[in-house]
Amino acid sequence: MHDLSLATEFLHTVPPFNTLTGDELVSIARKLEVAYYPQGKVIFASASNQGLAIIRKGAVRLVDADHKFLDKRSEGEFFGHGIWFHGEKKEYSAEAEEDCLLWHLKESEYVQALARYSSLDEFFSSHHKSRLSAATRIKSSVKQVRDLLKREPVMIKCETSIREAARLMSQENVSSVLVMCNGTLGGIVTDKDLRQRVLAVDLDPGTAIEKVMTANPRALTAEAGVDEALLLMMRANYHHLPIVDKNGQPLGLVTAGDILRSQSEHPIRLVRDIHKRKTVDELVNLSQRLPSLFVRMVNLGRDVEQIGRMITHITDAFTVRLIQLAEEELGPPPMQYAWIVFGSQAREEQTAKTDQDNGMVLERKASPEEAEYFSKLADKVCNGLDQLGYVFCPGEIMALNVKWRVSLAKWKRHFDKWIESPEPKSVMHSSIFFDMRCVHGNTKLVDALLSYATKSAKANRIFRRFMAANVLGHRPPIGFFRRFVQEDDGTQSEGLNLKHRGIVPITDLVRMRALEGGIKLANTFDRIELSSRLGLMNKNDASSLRDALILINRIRLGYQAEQVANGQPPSNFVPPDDLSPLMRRNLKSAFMLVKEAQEALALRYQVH
Amino acid sequence: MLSKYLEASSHLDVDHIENTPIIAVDLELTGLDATTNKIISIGWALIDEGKIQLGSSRHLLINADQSVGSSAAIHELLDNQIAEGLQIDEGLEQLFEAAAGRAWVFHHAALDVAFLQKACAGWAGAVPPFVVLDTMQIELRLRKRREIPVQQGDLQLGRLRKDYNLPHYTAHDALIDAFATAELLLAIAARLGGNTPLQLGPFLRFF
Repeated sequence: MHDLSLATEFLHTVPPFNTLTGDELVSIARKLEVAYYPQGKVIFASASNQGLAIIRKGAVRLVDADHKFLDKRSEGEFFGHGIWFHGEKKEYSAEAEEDCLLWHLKESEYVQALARYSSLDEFFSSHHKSRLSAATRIKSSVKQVRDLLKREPVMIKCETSIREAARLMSQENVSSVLVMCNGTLGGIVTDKDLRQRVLAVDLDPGTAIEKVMTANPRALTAEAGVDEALLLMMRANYHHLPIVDKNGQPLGLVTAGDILRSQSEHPIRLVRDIHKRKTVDELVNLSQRLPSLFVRMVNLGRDVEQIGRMITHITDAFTVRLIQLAEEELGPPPMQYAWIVFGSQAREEQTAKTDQDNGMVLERKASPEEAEYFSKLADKVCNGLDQLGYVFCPGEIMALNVKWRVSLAKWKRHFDKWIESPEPKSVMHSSIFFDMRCVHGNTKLVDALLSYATKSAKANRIFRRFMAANVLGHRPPIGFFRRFVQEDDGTQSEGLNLKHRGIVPITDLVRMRALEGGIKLANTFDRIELSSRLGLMNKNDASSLRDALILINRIRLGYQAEQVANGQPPSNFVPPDDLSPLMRRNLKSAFMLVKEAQEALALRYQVH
Repeated sequence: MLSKYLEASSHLDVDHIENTPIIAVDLELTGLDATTNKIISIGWALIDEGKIQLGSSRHLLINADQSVGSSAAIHELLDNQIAEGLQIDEGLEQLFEAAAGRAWVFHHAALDVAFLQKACAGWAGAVPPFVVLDTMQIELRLRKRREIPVQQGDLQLGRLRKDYNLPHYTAHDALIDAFATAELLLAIAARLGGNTPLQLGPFLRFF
């Protein structure tokens, strides 16, 4: 018998806590504090980062800084966290409108709970507002200038001599000191000031430091966002920014370098850095940032479509940079060619776990010397990708394989063979080639191939019937709610394979529609969108498949992020026991949607 | 056995409510007579800095070696459930460990304290001191001072909680009632203290 049933019974009636299991509720209830506030009492003067207060009884009035009414909350409702009022996140204070009994989760515990339980995160980040703003909110709680403070500030009094100040700076190994006048921050002195205002003008080092300091420097409080600090420094061209507490007492100093380093995990910045690197080893170093970047993107609640595109964008950048480096080393290519990618990279749907699927489309048949060049190029790029963590494709669909390093004409013949004389095995292996994209070189070569393949597939119903049969080979696991999941060969697997049993069936179904409609886009969301607009798919089916894909992917990405954060290799398997009841319910509905879409496909092509 | 409790209690400094560590306790009993009846369960919750720490709450079932008899219906505890409980000595050990350095709060302390004193005599061979806040006595005093007539039942835990706009708990066991008492104490203190935390000294009773 556990001791917290009193708390869990109530929590269980309050959304979103009703989505958690009993054990999950107990772990939250354990952290709760109960407080009582009589009518009229101010509960939080500054309420937007006080964790989460659950109103167990009573009512609370939320007002803004000018004491204007914002909202009233009552039993079973929340406050104390960041709340958006009329589309705007405002600081607010909370007072008891009636006698109130509150259950309070402290800020640190609240942040942890959000990170741990996606249903809470979703609820509190999207309840009254868009997911985008949710991402901003979590980001701002993670990225305050406070997080950049590394050491106590080095401070001196304003009457200290320049000589002494300089001595202290070299002793403490800092490039700036804060000057305190009458107990408050009076100025700042940097290396540059000593150079320009002392040495360059031959000033007596016995002079008081206050003569050369920058007086009344701009300062920020520790709660300020990193973005705000960055903006301020960029605008005013400061390199040092004092950080103070609410009473103006210095807490430390943030430099431009600190801020830039803190931004290093931004995908755009990573892509920019990739293009500046000059050796494979340097790129390998950069690729170390990928895991934490991935975890951050997932934890910031970016939507799965954007995560897929961003991860792929990074893979593209690495690929292109490796090709450029190889071309620099080997000299210019002897003819026009295109670096083509297939599968999830082509669809822009990569996740943390990804291998390489690529090839080359040459302008014409290569002479032995020319073939030698492309062989070397492929060798450098594919091996480079492998070193960066994009491991070799188990099916050897890589430019490294001479079969996939051929002329446009030869590529067309490959597609002819798959499309005109289909047989189950070749169809199964060829479906990945129908998702293609050019990442480097002459785009026209890939465009030509794509047009050709799309047109042939659209025209050949027999081929598509084989494709349909192949699609139906990946059935969603409706029965996975039993304790163990069985894979098709009857072996008990290590869990539910969300990729093979969830994602692949959907991308396959959507690819079928794309082939039927001659759609050349590779991204599954784009294909769904266009299929729906062209009337190939009705709107309901389109949004169902889209939702199912988002849902399954969100669970998969969340699980992978957790694995990566724990230093484990990301996997597509999720042990069923790790799924919360909400996730199970959602997954089950998603799988049902996929099953229905598959049944419709089976009917359309008369295959079973 | 009681040394840690005795040592800590000698340092107990009762100040205002946010500065006084408190343990709210309720017992379920086989009857009202401490000489013949037994403790069958103990529930408690801790109050630190004026806030009830939910994670600290405990509910111990005690193996009373005595049939629950007619009170079973009230407590919804069956004999076989009780038989699975702790020995009273083990229960007291845990309780007094949690209570070390804390003021006690009960609703109607005299009854519970009498049972605890009796049990302690058997367990530790000594009767420890109790520094007690009694929510029922505090409320009685307040009403007398304000010359509000008190009728039978007015001071029951459930009735008082309603007066203070606290939630209604349908179920009752030692933990729920201990918890309910802790909440009532916070409510009384908040009303009495107004904008400053309530000084507890004037409300103490010593057993």
